[in-house]
Parts: sequence; C-alpha cells; structure tokens
Amino acid sequence: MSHPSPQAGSQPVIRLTDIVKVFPSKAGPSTVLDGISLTVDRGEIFGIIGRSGAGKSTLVRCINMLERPTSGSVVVDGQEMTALSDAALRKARHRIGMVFQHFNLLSSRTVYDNVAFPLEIAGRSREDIRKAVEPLLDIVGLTDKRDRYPAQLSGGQKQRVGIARALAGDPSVLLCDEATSALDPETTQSILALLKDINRRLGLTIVLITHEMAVVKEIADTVVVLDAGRIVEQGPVFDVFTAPRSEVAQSFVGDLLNHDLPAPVAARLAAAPGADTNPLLRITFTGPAANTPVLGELIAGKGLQANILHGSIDYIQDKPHGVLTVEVLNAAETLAPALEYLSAHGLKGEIVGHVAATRRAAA
Amino acid sequence: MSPQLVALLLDALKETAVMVAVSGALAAIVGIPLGVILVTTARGHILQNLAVNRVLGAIVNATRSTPFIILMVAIIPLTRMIVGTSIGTAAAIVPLSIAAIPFAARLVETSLREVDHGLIEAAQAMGASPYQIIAKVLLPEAWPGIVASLTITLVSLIGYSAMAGAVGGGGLGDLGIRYGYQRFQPEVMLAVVVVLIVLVQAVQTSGDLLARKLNKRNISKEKA
Repeated sequence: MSHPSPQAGSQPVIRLTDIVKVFPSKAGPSTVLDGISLTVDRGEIFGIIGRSGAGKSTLVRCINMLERPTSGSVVVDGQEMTALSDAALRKARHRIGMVFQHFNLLSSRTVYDNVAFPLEIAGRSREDIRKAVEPLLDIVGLTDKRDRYPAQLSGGQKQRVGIARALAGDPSVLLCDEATSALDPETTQSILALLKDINRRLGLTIVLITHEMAVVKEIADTVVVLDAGRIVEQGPVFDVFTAPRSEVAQSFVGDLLNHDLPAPVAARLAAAPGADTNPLLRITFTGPAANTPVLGELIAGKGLQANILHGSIDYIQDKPHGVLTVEVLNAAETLAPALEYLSAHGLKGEIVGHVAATRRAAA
Repeated sequence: MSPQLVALLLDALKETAVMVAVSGALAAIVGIPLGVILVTTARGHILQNLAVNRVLGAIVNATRSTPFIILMVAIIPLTRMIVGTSIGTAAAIVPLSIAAIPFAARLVETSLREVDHGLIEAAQAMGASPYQIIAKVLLPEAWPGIVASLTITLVSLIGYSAMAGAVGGGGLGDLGIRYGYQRFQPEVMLAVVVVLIVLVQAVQTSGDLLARKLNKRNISKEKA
C-alpha cells in the first residue's frame, strides 16, 4: 500500500466477484459490466474512474443492490448481498451510506430532518435521532443551518447535508456516486477535504466513483480504471498515476498532468539527431527521490550544461511527482554519465527528442 | 333582492356546499390512495404490478369518459343501494363522488409522478420499505401538487353539482335552472352565477395559498 490509512490492509469490507450486468435494450441485450472483481479494504478510500458509459454508476449501484447484478457475488461486511431477502436487504442497507451527484435531498424537510431521515426509516427513537444528528451537523459544519430547507442552501451545503445523512446510520461503507460532479472546483475541494477528514477521523471506508482524475488524485488510496464494463487497470493511486499502463488511464492522467512539451519547444524539435542538434533530456522524479537535489548534482558534479525548457511538479497522496525537461548543451561529454547517475539514484532519465541548437556549449 | 330569494339562495348554497364537501372529501380519501397505487404499480416503480395497474387504469378511464349526466342516471340502482333513495342531495353525492374519485386520482398520480426519481432511489439506498417511501417521500414531496389537484377537483365538483338537479339534488345550479330559466327570472340566474363565481374564486384562492405554503422548493433564501 502506498498510503498509511487508519486500518488499511485489514480484511476487505467489500468483495465483488465476477459481476456481470446485462441490460435488455431494443437493440438486444447490452452488457454494461463484464466480469468485474475487486476488493475494498476497510478504512481505505477506493476510487473508481471511467468515462461516461464505462459502467461505473451501475457498478457502485450493485454494491447496495440498487442494481441487481445479472450474475456474480457481492459481499459487503461479510454478507452476500445477492442472497438477502427484501427485509434483510433493507436492514443491510442501513449500514451502507450513499451520496449522490444531485444530492437527492427531500425538499419538504429541513436540514435536520433530512439528516434524521435514514434514522426514522430504521425506526430509531426521537431522542436517539437527536443524539445522532446533532454531532453530524457539527462534523459537516451546518449546525447553524439546521432549520433551513434545501432550497435555501448552496450546492456545497446541500452535499454536506447529503454526506451527513449518509453517515447517520453509522455505516461501514460510504458510497459516493459522482459526489462532486455538480459542484464548482472550489466547493469540490472543500467536499473532498470533508470526505478525507471523515475517512481519517472515523476510519470509514469510502468508495467513490468519478470521471475526474483530479478527484481520485486528491483523496483516493486505490484506484480502479473502468472502460466498457471491464477493469483495465487497478492499483495504488500513486502507481497508476505515475506509471499508467492502459490507454484509458494514460488519457486520464494526461488530462491532469501536462507533461507534454510546450508548443514553442515542440516547434524546435528536429526530425533526427544531427551535428547541430541538442538532445532533450526528461527527468522524472517520483516518490522520495524527488527530494534529492539531482539537478544541482548533475550540473556541479557532472559538468552538465542544461537549459531548462519545461518542468512541473504535482503532489499525489502527499508525495511529489515531477517532470523536468532540459536541453543538454554539452551532450557529447556529459550525457552518458548523467543518465548513469540518474538511474543509480532511482530516477528516470530519458531522451525524448532533439532540438535544433540555439547555442553551443560554453567551452 | 327579495328576502325569499335570499332564503332560496342560502338553501341552495347550503345544498351545493354539502354535495361538494362530502364528495370532495370522498374524492380525497379514495382518490389519493388510488393515485398512489396507479403510480407505484407502474413499470419500474416500487410496487410494480402491471395487471393491477392496467385494470385500475381502465376503470378510471371508463369512469372519466362517461358524461356526468349519463353516469348519474346509469348508477341509480347503486345509489339506491347505498343511500336508500335515488332522489335528493344525499342521492346526488353518490354519482358526484364516483365521478370525482378517478378525476382526483389521475391528478394526484401526475403530482406523484413529478417527484424526482433520485429521491426514491436515495430512500431505497437507506433501506426504506415501499410503504415508507410512499409515506415519507412520495406524499410529503408531492403535497403541494396534491393540494392543487384537490382544488381543481373541488372546482369541477361545483360545476358538476349544477347537474344534480336532474336527480332532485337541489343546489345552486338547480335553482338557477328552475327559477332563472323555467320561471323566466333572469335576476335569479344572475344571482346564482355571481354566488358560484365567488365560491369558485374562494376555493381556488385558498387552495393556491395552501399549496404555496406547503411548497418548500421555492422558499426564499432570506427567510430562515
């Protein structure tokens, strides 16, 4: 595991095995989920990412049986969900919280009564409900809005009510279905921070589906990339992020990290290396090695003359991931030892192209 | 206006009020549950039962397509069975109710259908039973629409009740026809129409006010 979650690495809280979901349609049956197997460990934030139509919404709905899989097994908290009677399923659902893209709050109820709603359904006493709802309103920061109606709240506040409501049944899992997709970037950040805080404080397992890599990058520990009803890639977020193998994952990462050469540099790219070209060296910093003063060492120690063209650094799971592209002016003498030095320090150095030289190395 | 005329108008108003109130209440008591059944037994809904849905739908449509004046005469045997007579205000209430129930049920059905499906899904995800979804989600969320539906039903009933004269039900419409038309007293006809206008206006306005008060969807941000 890349990230130390409160109780990560313990027993799985969700285990899906060979989930297949086929919807009948006019054009014949269409397979939306095609043999999905995955496990979610207790206490982790588990991201499921995919383009629209990839089947991620259906997948998350299979976890609480809002969609019944055509075949396969869904085990939540040790219970085989597909085998439960209607009554037993309702009981099991009390322990699975769900947050929706469009909040789905009852417009006729106040903030307090919306949060109390799942407890009412579970048949809890008025006093029990009060004891549970008040601290939840405090966690999501809406104590002063308890008597407002949803129509009087902003989108971010509505989603906070949605989250408090999902937490009311003291769930063992929180399912988030595009929970931030209807919110502006700033509000998204605050909702993600809230989810992260809840995960840390309560040790609550969170499954979130999204089409935004930024959301996964921000809070998830593990990510599954879904495409056309199949899992095309899965692993710790940092690994998928820094070394995406599948085309879909690469395009998601590409959306977020622009490590491509900027246009003015790209315009100078030469077709082939020649006498009057300089190589472009791209150094990828990942994990702990990102903190070593590599460039200084290369320049001072190895005599590298470098012209920095492009660089960026991102933090994923609080770990730095950076890319630096330099034009090497004195490649003949220094390139080989420089590459050697990089690989010796666990960093990736690669020649990504050659550009027409604007300057030769200083003698 | 002569005192006799005023007395006649008051009596007729009372008869109309009784007919409309009783059949309106029955329309609500039976029509709301019927509307709930029509919605929840439809395809893909929480109590899907297509057989029940189609049979009820057909009965509702058949009742609604029968002209009221024909319905009133056609069910005279039933009326006699229920109230013991086929003539009078009580006898008029039976056909009025039978006409109003499916009318209200269809309007209630429409209001319930407008409840966002996401709310039903959210309640299901929390483990709500179909009964809880009806009682705690569908009805409370549709309440303003249901009130508006019942208001329309009451207004229609006021109109239908004018035909109650055909079975000796009395009421304002009957008064207008007998005195205003058959006895050539246009001022009675005019008075009846004015009273009816005021009555409909009052029902519609109070219905609108109540629906607006119940609707928390447009509540202003300033009001706490």
